[in-house]
Amino acid sequence: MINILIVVSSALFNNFGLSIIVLTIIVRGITTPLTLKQLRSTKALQELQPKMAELHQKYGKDKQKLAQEQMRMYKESGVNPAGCLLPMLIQLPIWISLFQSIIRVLAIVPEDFLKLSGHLYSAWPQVFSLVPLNSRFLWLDLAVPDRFLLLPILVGGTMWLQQKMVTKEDRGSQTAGAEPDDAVDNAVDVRLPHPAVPEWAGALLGGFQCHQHWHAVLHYWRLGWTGRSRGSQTDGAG
Amino acid sequence: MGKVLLLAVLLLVIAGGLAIPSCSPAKGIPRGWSGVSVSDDTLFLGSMEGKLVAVDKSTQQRLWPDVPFKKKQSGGFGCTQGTSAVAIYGTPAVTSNLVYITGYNGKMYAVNAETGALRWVYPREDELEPIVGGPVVAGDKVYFGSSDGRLYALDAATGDEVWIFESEGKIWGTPAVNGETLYIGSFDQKLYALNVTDGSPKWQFETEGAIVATPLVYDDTVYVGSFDRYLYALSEADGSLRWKYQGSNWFWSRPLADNGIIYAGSVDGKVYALKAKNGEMVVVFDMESPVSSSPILVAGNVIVAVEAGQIYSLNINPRQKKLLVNLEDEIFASLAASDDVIYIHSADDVVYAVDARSGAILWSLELESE
Repeated sequence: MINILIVVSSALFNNFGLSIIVLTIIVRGITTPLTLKQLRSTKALQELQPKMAELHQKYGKDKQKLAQEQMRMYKESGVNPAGCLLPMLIQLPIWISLFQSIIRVLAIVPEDFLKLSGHLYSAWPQVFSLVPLNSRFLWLDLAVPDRFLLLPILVGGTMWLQQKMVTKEDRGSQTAGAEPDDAVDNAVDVRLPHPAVPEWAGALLGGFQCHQHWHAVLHYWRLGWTGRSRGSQTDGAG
Repeated sequence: MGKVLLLAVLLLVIAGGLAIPSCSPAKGIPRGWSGVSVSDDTLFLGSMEGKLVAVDKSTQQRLWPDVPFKKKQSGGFGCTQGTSAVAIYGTPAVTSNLVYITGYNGKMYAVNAETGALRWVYPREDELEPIVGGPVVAGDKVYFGSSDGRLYALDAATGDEVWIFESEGKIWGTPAVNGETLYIGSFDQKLYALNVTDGSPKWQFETEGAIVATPLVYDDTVYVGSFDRYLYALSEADGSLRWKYQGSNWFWSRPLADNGIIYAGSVDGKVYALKAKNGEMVVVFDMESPVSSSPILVAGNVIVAVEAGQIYSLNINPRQKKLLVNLEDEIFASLAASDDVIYIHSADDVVYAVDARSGAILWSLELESE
């Protein structure tokens, strides 16, 4: 992935920022079928929520019976409760690999630079000459944290928006105590994009921002806005 | 009321999430790999704690207390953390009365070699971009390069600026001076030959990769390795290409010349022995580990350290690669030698003295303070 990043950067006017965007889009495109599967699973689980709430009311005190009824319901409806996990698990190493490559390619200190030499393919001789890459992109130096904090705020904002798209709440069937959970979810999502002092923070957040945009667009295209509905049970996907 | 409280908590969490990491130590911290300078009976080097160390090579006692160099560290949101140790990559340069040393904090120091007292620092206020290469003293001036792309020439006695040359990329290498000419490579892929008096360019040669290695001047020819995997031999007079030889990875260290043969180590794990006249390959030694430390000549043998911690003695006639010692400690710093003893500063901040003939470790000294 390191060598691909370098070659793509060179093809894109020696612009590392552009290469992060393009490679993120490519990887996102390749993993789209898995993402769609994950989204469909999530949606199916959401649609079962009212029935789950009923089961909780009916068998809340009998955990064993509750679990049995839940499994029966999943079986009857053909929904796999872990169906959204597997696609995510498959994608995880790919994204970790991409983010690790971004960090390594942006080697700043001499030690990291030396280590980078060991990751270059001799089959692609041009990669040796292309390093070091130009780390400047728009107002950013991708090798250092964004001192204006625009990128972390953008990432946080899109993560929150995406969470709103996914979260479906039916206020009519809301069980007691459910509301704070949504707020906690929102808190988790907004907390995630730390500005992160490490030198490669700018590049990493840039890549993450692309990832978030793609995911939000895909979600809206396939499932619509499945967010909060006020007073009635509405499926935003239509 | 509950929602207001929750919103307040959310805002606190966001603020904390943004502020706290800015105040926490940064990752990818530079450590340094200063080589040893030998001057009479004293070894000078920069420790990984950011100190200039002076050690008597016979007794291993400090000549004077280590001179610390500190860097102010500032996090985001005005979160100042105080000071931290400076990484030192360059090997100190020593004259009769001063020791010159550069730091990753963008400062150049001149210290009294007898007492350890700081004579001057450049720049006096503020800092330059990180300095990775070491200083070179020639005549009455001291020269060094910086990540800002500039080559600085200062008055060696006072630290006053004499001239500055600007390239188009970072300068991480140590300059080489031969007579009235200074040679320096840059990340802009060029090797520059400059007039030592005023920094005016004499010629420049463009390769296809960044240049970090210190050039070698031998027999009217300048030898320098590049990130384009070539070792170049250029005419000292006008920079015209005499020959070039391709390795498999970057050339990071300074080549060595002995008896008409150029020895060039590469991070591809090989040392290339080439005829100085025409670049014809004599032998390629497989060192099995990247070579980023500059080789030296001791007792008629070429001594090379590899990153994995082994030190080898090489010979071409007969062809021989002999393991002298395995320090089991990473080596990035360049070697030094005096009276058939090799001095090595390892990545664990230990100085070793090794007999150049037998490979026996004569002594070792841990520099880390207790």
